[in-house]
Amino acid sequence: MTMLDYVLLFMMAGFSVFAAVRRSLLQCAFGLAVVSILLTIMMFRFNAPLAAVFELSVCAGLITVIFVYAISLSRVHTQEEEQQADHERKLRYGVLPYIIVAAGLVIYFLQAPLIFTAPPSQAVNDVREVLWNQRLFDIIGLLLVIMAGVFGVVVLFKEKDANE
Amino acid sequence: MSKDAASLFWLYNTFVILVFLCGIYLVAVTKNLIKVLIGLELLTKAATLLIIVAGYSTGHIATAQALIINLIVVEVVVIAVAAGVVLSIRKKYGSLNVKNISNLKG
Repeated sequence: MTMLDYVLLFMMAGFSVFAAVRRSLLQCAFGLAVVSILLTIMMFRFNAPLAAVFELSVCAGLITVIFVYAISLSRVHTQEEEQQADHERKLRYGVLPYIIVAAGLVIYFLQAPLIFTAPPSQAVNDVREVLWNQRLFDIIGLLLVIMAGVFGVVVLFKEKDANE
Repeated sequence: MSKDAASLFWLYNTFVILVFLCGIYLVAVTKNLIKVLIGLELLTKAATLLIIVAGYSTGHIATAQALIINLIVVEVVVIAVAAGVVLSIRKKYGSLNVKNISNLKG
């Protein structure tokens, strides 16, 4: 473990809290994108470049674009609504940073013993082998999920056009 | 699992739980539907980090990568469809606040 591990982890926790407590939805989406980027760096450090590239391009890129698109279509608050929301937000989210710090200290100093043991290391360590040759049935599930997603998006946008 | 791997796993596990707590708190407390989606994303980030650290600690990094790629595909589909549903709700009710969507009350 190096200093960089600690820096990355603390930044990740910090930006998670940032994404949770900020009032502006755009800033929340920005915080989420930064969490994705930090996760990508950790994946590269753990020698998982393929997953890291997926995380960077899809989670930090595509999902952020989806969020920004959705936020751009939402309505801006009036001055009165803004003040009301501000008051409620302080009550709701003010306690979160304290919860996170307290929980972090408790969990870290608890140091519960690990209750599992690693299985014998006989697995193939080439991701291409695992991804393409060792999976059979779950590829069908994955394809169904992708098709369901595409179908869902097409139906939603089609309905939107028809209503307009 | 060696002692170094176990301590690395425990350190990362602590922060996984913290990010997970953020996500749970956001989903539980917020009244804005887009923030609910952001909370779901935070939960997924915590799960992703846990998988990659577990894979690294146990020496099954290739399996962990394959699992994460599956997770990311499912995640993006869920977010895309959920964002579409949220936009439809916004169009129908004119608001993203769950308090204003009274027709969904049981």
